[in-house]
Amino acid sequence: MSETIVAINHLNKLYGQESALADFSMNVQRGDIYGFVGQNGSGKTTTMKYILSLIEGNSGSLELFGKNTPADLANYRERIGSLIESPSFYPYLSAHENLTYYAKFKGITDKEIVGQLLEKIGLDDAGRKKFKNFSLGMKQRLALGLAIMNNPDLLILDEPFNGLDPQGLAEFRKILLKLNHESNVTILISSHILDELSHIATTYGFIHQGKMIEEISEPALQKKCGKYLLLKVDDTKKASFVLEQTIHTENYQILDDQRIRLFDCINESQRVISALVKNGVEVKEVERKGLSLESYYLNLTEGGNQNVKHS
Amino acid sequence: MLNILKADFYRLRKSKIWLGILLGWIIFLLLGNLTALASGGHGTLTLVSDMRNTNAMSFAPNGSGIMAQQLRVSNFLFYFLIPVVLFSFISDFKWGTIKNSVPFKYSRTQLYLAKFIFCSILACLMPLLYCLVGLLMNQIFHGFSGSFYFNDFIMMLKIIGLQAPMYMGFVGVMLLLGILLQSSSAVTAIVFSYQMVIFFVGAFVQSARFADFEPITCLNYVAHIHLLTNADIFRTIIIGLSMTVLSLILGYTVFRKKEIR
Repeated sequence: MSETIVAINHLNKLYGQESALADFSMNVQRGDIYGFVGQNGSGKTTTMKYILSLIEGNSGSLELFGKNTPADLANYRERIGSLIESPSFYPYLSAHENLTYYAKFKGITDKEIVGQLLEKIGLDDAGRKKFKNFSLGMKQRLALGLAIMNNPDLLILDEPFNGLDPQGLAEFRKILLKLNHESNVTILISSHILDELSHIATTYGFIHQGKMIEEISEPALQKKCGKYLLLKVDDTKKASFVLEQTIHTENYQILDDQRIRLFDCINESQRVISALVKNGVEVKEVERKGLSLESYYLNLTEGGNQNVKHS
Repeated sequence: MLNILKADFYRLRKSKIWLGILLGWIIFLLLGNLTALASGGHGTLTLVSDMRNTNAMSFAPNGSGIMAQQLRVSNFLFYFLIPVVLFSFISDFKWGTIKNSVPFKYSRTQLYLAKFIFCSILACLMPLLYCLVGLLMNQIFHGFSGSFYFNDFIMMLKIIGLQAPMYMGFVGVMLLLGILLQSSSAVTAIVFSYQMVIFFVGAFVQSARFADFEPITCLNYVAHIHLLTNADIFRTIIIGLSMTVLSLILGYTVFRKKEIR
């Protein structure tokens, strides 16, 4: 059974008279890349700030790593790395100095860590440049560097893709996937760039007007969206053999002598293609079909304030 | 908490703020020494006048005697607490860096106390460094021919020690203002205008008691340590400690409940 890393139960949060979160509940499991989706002002940042103790709730409860006493919550926050809203650093310090400051702040004695982090986030060349002279993309990378500084078990990232160029996006995604796959870091991530989110998320939480309207796993979402990979190959028999023996899936449908619908590995098209090609199957065309994450979300929110669904 | 202090001292070292503070002192001392030079070596300088005129500083002494003289205008040093407090904590709200420090494992109590201790250490070190810079400038203007007495150094340390609770109190009040207003310029404006208001009020309220209890006037008054009775010393310490404790309690209460939006 998987361990719940973040559990929010029936949280209500008011800003003055205005409700930011209403009877909001959320569950993030260990190893998840939890895509937190919602429109502006729906309560995503408020939720993340609540988890990080930047704000307090009016009612409701929070569990982190299965603990809920104030002392435990404070201790377990050491295992969280975060990037909330825009990246914030001291503008008069360089990237290296800013990270050194936070390494000292966190009591990290390893003198090599700053250099290693700068290299990991691709800022090793800009380490001496003042933060005030950074582009937004560089700022986002530096913020990610700070978030992963203390080898967190949970990363909370609020709109981390903002300002990143296509190359930056790809690198950022690669870092997150590496952290998730190799170090089993759980990631709670919000983004407006739903396409980007759909490349990495393993679970989704859809929030609308302060309410969680659906929590759903990636496979369940794909099923609901009717998502599949449409493969156009020269030999469907040979291709089906490769899918079963190499990709280990029987979740496909042969349409005719050239086309196959693959319902698994939708986000791993590269792996599928290379397996087919390696085994002598000519891949003529690959297409992702079905409802996009954006369309699904829009359909869901048009449904309004429905009850929470778990899939 | 030690980690927060270490980090802040690192940041202080890397910033240029201490250079700005040093430059401020040098300009002031240069002005005083030049005035002294222009008046045949007997120049006095006062930033404001209070009813006791405790803040008139003579630039005539040649040697270690200048240090206690310098502390008679400690209300000047009070202004330099502003950049220190802004630098250490209030700017965290301006730059948004508070979002990086609050979520970590330190409690808000530890964070607030660490910032207070950091500012207090600097506030107590500042008069010491200011005296040493003043002594150096004094010697430059007098051609390195001064007299140095161990007692002068002891007296300087005694005055600074007596002023310390008040400096800590000012730091506490400034932190409280900073937490309430979350604005560097608002804190600066209030602290500056406080001295103005006090001087204005002091000019009208012709009472020695007012000067006894008004903290900034007390700060200068303490420099006349040889004239102080035990009751004066006790009162000064109580004023400083009361300011410190009250402002810390209030500041922490506000910070504990503060929403970082």
